[in-house]
Amino acid sequence: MKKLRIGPNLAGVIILAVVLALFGAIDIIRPFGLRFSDLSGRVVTIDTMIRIGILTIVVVGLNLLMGYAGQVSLGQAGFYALGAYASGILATLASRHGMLVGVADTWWWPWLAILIGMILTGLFAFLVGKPILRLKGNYLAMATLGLGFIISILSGQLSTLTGGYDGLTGIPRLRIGEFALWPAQRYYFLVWGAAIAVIVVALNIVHSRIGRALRAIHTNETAANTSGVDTEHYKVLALVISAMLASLAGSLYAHFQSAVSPSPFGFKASVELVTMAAVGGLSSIWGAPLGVAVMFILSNLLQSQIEAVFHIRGGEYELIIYGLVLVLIMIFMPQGAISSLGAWRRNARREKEGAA
Amino acid sequence: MTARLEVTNLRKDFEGLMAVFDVSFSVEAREIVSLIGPNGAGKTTIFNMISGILPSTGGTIQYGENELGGLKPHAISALGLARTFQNLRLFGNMTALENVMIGRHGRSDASVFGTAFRLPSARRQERAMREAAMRQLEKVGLAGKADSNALSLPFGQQRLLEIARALATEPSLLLLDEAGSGLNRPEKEELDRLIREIRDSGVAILLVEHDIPFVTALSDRIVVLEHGMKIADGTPAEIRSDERVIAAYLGEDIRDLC
Repeated sequence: MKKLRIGPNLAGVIILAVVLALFGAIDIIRPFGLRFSDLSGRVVTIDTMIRIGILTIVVVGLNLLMGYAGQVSLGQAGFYALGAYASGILATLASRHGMLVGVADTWWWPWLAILIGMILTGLFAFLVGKPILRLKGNYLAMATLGLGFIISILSGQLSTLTGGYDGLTGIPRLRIGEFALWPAQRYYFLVWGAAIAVIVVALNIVHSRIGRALRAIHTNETAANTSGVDTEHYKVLALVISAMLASLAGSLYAHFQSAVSPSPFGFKASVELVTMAAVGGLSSIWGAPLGVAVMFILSNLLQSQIEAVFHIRGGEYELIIYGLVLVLIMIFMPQGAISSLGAWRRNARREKEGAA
Repeated sequence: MTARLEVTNLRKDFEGLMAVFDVSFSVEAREIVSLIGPNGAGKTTIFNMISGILPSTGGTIQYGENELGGLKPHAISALGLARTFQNLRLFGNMTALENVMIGRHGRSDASVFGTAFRLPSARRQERAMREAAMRQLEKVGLAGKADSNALSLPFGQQRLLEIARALATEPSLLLLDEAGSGLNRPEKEELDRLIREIRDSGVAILLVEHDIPFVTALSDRIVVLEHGMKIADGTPAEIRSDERVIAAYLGEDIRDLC
C-alpha cells in the first residue's frame, strides 16, 4: 500500500515556487520601499530573473535531449530563434502587414501564435531529426551546429519576413483580456509559472517509461533496441520535445523584449546553452535553473567588471568565461555541479564518520 | 503464443569475407537448440541477424508467419524474440529493477502526454510494469537486488539480470549468447535449471555455447558450425559420433569432452 507521499521532487517544486513567488511579490508590494534588486546589491534584477526563467525552459529541454537521451545539440539556439520569430512575425501581422485585422490584433492571438510556433518548430525538428539523428557523437554535433547556422543566417536574410538584421520591433506585450502582463514585475510571474510547469512536466517524463527508454538509449542503443525500445522514435521524440520547449522560451523572449533580431540566437547562444546545461548537470532537470542562474549572473558580473577595469565596452568577453567554465566542468565535474557537490558532501560525511 | 523459427540459406558477407554461408536450421516450439562451433564459426553473427542488429546478405529468417528480414530489433522483440549478449549489455545508469523494466517497455504504451501529466492510465501502467519486472527478478532469484545498481552486482548475477530483462519482453523464443561463459560450476547448474524452467513455461530456446558437456546435457538438438557453414545437425548423441564434428574440434576427441 502506497500512501500519497511528498517526494524530494515535489518538495523541490513547491519550495522553488514559493521562494520565487515571494521574490516576485517584493517588487509589487515594495515593503519598506525595498526592491527585488536590493536583495542582491542590485546585481540580480527582476529583468535578470526573467531571462533566467526563459533560458531555464530551453535548458530543461536540452537536458532531456543531451543528458537523458545522450544526443548532442550545438544548434539549440536555432529552435529558440524559431519560436521567437514565430511569435514576432505572427503577433505583428496586423500592425506590419495589415493582415488578419480583427483577428491578429486581439488579445488571444499572441497566445495562439506561441502555440503555433511550438507546433511548427516541433514539426521542423521532427523532419530534420529523422536523418540527422542517425549520426552519432561528433558527427551529430557538427550537423546540429550547421542547422543552427542555417537558421541564424536565414533569420537575417529573409528580411521581408524577419526584418533582416535590424529585426522586428513593436511586438505587443501579452495580455489576458484587458489585463496586461506587463510591466516586468507581472511578466516575471508568467515566465516563472511557465518554467516551473516545464520543470514538473520534464520530471514526470524522466520518471516514466519514456525517461527510462531515453536513458537506455544513452547507455546502450543496441541493447535498448533489442529489449523492445524503438530507439529511432525516442531520439526524434527527445529532439522534438526539446525544440518545442526552446520555441516556447523564444516566444516568451520575443514578448519580453518586444523585438527580435538574429544576434541573440547565433552559435554563441548555443554554446552558452550547452554550458549552462553542463554546469547544472546534464542528466538533472533540477540542474537547469541552477546552471542558468550561475552562468548568467557570473558572466554579467564579469562583463561589467571588465568594462569598469579596462574601460572597454561592447566586447563579448563573457564567451571566454563560458569556454573556460565548460572546459573546467568537463575535466573536474563531468556529472555537473549539482551531482558533483552531492558526491563531495557524501564523501566528506563518510570521512567524518570514518574518523569518529 | 509459440512459433517455429526457420532459418533458410542464411548468409552474411562482410565485404568479401563469408562469415555465414547458406546456413539452415530450425527451432521448434518448446525446444532447446544449441549452436556450437569453434571461435569465428559465425554463431554470434547468426544471432545478430536473427535479432535484427545486422542485416543478412542472403537467405530468409521466418518466425511463425513473419519474415524477420528487414525488421528493426524492437519490431522483432514485439514478435516474441528476445536475446542476451555474450559481452553483457546492461544499463549501468539504472537499478536492476529498472533494467528489467526496459524489457517491459514494448509491452506498454503510455504516451508522452500521459506520462508528462501523470494521467491515471500512465500511472497504472507504470505500476504494472514495476510489478511484472519484479516477478522476472524473482524468477531468476534477484528480487533482493532490485534497487542495486545493475553493474554493482557480481558477474554471475549480471548474467541472470540480462536473462530477466529478456524474459520481461514475454518472448516465445529466447536467444542466449554464451549465457554460461564466466560462470562457475554451481552457477552453471543454476543456469541449467533456469533454462529448463523457462522451456517448461513454454519458451523455445536457442543457445550459443562453448561448454560442450553443458550443451549436450541440456539440448534437444545441436547445430554445429565451422567457418560459417553448418557441418552437422542432430541430437547430442548423433553429434558426438559425427566424424566432421570430431575433425572440427582440432582432432580433440569430442567423445572425451562429453
